[in-house]
Amino acid sequence: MHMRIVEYTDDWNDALAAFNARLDAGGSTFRLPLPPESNIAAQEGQAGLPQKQYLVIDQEDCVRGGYVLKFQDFWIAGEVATVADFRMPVSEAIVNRGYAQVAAGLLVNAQKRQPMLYGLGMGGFKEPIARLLRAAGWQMFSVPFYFQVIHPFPFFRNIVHLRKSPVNRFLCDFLAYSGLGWLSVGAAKVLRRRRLLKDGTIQAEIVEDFGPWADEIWQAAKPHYGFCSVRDAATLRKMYPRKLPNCVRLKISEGGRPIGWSLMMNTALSNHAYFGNMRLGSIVDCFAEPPNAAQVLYQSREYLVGQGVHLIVSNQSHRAWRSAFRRCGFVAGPSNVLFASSKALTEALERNCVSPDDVHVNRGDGDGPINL
Amino acid sequence: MTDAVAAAFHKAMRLKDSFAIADSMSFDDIPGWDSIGHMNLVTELESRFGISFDMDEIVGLDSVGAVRAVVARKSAA
Repeated sequence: MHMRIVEYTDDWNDALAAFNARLDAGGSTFRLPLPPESNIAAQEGQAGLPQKQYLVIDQEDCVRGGYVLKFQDFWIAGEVATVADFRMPVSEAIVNRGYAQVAAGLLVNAQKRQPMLYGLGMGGFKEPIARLLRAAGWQMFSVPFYFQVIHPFPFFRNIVHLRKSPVNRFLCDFLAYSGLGWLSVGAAKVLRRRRLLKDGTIQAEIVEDFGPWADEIWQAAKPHYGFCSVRDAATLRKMYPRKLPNCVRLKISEGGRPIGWSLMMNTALSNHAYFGNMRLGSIVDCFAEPPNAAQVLYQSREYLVGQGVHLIVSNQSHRAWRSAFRRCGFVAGPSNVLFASSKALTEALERNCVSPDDVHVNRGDGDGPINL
Repeated sequence: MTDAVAAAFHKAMRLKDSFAIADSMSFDDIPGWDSIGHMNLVTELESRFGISFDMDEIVGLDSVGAVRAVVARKSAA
């Protein structure tokens, strides 16, 4: 069997559609999206971060797999290097074991094209993509998940994970209708949040876009991080195009000096797999010098609470942000978001003594703010 | 080399020692020879023989005999 890799062009649309149709017919929910579907910025008609889509083509010019590389500059302990997000790898082996060799082929191809690769998400260590990357020698860790229940009644009535059995549903309903839910989730929240004193010199401001002030924050904060995507204003405007729906950009200043920002989402969910019909607040991304992280989160939380969200969630890897989330009364829950680094990226991190605690990734990285 | 290729299959697919590897075997004949097993096999072969594969070679590794032939060719080069 001989196959080749080509970069996607419109000429391959029919073959790609046929590939997706075979996956669908085989019962798979995976598919390789046609551009611009694979790019949230392009969906909004804006130039996002550069990305390229590659297809595995057999001798009959049929698509048998593919992947996407999203290229982005990353800060690695004092230097900036281009790293690519290895996205949406799909092979026909999902529905036909006769193509079992395709996934390894496309991964090796991606690594030769761009040795410094990372993956984010994946759904957990037991998922096929995580096991494939592990088999290729990638290192990975889970990105902690934090949540805070703001309104216990809709939370206990909608939280799918806790309502799986009749007994659990009864308990959740009891907590919701009796009012005990307020006690169970409220006490710890209030106790922890009180430690953060309201500071009259702090201003939180909703902004339309990231401006030069974001550059100031980037320059001041970047030395405190071992590994993170460049978060200057120009890059942030590509990561989070202005038309991105449901996104709110919060700029936090102290005495007029910008000290941090967050990007949040406020989404009314409908039959969500995890959160049912809750109004979900998400702290998608955030950046600041570590001593200011808790204040950024405090202000972000206050904004989302004011918008009436029932639950606030976030995934954060860096030690400063994890600490800040705990300080603001958030609780850690089971995470299915993994960060994986290719051999070359792992070597670069190890060479610079960057540990997982020094890595700042969240839901703004990888695929960006989707499924929130 | 014959034993080394078979040993690579055993390690990559986590096969029982008693499982006999034959050149004619393909994906359906060897338990665990799926996408992840194939990646394990590629990694194991590269480590064991000090070689590396490109994509076209990897997708061509569709039987034990094919693996043996490619390893022999690359090891001799």
